[in-house]
Amino acid sequence: MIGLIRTVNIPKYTQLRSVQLLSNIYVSRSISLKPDFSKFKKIEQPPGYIVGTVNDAYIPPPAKFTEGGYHWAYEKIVTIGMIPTLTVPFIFGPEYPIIDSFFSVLLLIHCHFGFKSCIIDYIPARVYGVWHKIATRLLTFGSCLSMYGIYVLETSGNGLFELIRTLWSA
Amino acid sequence: MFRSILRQTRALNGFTNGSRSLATAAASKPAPRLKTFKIYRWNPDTPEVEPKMQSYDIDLNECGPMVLDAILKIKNEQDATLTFRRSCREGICGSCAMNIGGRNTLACLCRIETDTSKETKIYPLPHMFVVRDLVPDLTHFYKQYKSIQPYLQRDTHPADGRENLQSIEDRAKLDGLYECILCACCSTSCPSYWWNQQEYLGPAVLMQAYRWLIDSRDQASGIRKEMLQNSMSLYRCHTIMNCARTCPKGLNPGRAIAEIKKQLAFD
Repeated sequence: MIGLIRTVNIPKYTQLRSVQLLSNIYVSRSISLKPDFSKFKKIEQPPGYIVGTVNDAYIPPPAKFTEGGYHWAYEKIVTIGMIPTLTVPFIFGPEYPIIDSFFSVLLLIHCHFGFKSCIIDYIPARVYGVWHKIATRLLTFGSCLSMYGIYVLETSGNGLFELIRTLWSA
Repeated sequence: MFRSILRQTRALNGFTNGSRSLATAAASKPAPRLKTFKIYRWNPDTPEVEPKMQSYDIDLNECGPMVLDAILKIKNEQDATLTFRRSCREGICGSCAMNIGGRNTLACLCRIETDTSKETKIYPLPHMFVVRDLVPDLTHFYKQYKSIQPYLQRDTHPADGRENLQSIEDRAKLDGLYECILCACCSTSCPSYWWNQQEYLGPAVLMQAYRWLIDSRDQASGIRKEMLQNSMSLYRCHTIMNCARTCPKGLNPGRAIAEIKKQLAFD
């Protein structure tokens, strides 16, 4: 592995020597069998949380609408959509699988967004590095599993509302 | 109240018995009402010494009504090493922001609770790096304020060449926003700001971002909104509303943040 690469105007007859110098810089190679756990440690934060000098403005990350305004809008649409859908089984009974699966999917998305928000709050990427990715992937895996679970519940079972009704009356 | 009654009794004694009036005047000094203040102390010159609470007793009869009067009296008479920021003593500069009795407020506006059986605890603003005693490090807070570009930005010159005209209704929209004195009480009361101070801007800065967003004279709304379009700068607010609860000037940063979210959603 080459360390520093300096662009210097080296005449052709000295090029061999510069290569030898570079190979001298790269000295030892660690052959320890202990695995590298450094990426699982908490990332060191700058003192006082100051990045750059004290007179520079804080630089926000580049705009990403899917994590910003649009995400918030989807969150609220899902939440608002859940409210009338939830009143349907109480009025018309729990036997409508389309309403049932629609509500289950909305509930799943609502919970997914909620847990994602918790992960961003308490396992931020700037402090926990790889654990943030692990948590996000675990959440996505859980959501996909739950999506399959909804499919099973609707097809083999009697739906979510019926399940809650039996649990409540049991 | 007690002083006025004492004055009446002294006057009566003066009329009836002249020689005795002097004795009662001397003895009528009221009993001292001692209030205990427990103040957070830490010295960066001896950083290995853990921060601790130090108790001071103040006679409320000899002290002004506000907490700032009390800590100034402590600094003048008892412990000159007590360190805190203060300037205007009237709640307009925002220097003396600290946590008094569990609430973030300005010391110059916070009345001392006259119940002498209870002690008052004074801490620096929560979850901030402490420079010394009650002085927090607000550098990052000011960096965040600078980042929202809190100045008027226009592409065009005003129509009459002199003033950027604004209607009375548009000016009324700024009421409740421009009065912010940037004391940092609200931001340091927000749990989201505690956990993600580096990336979440906090209610104080966001309220000022809103103040510039809705200023009708400002033409840079596009870039102002774009600066907030990420998961951290604005959207770590979960409407905890500690900010509105603790603002010593009675402003409502939570409402301003909600208005920003509404504007950003329909972008």
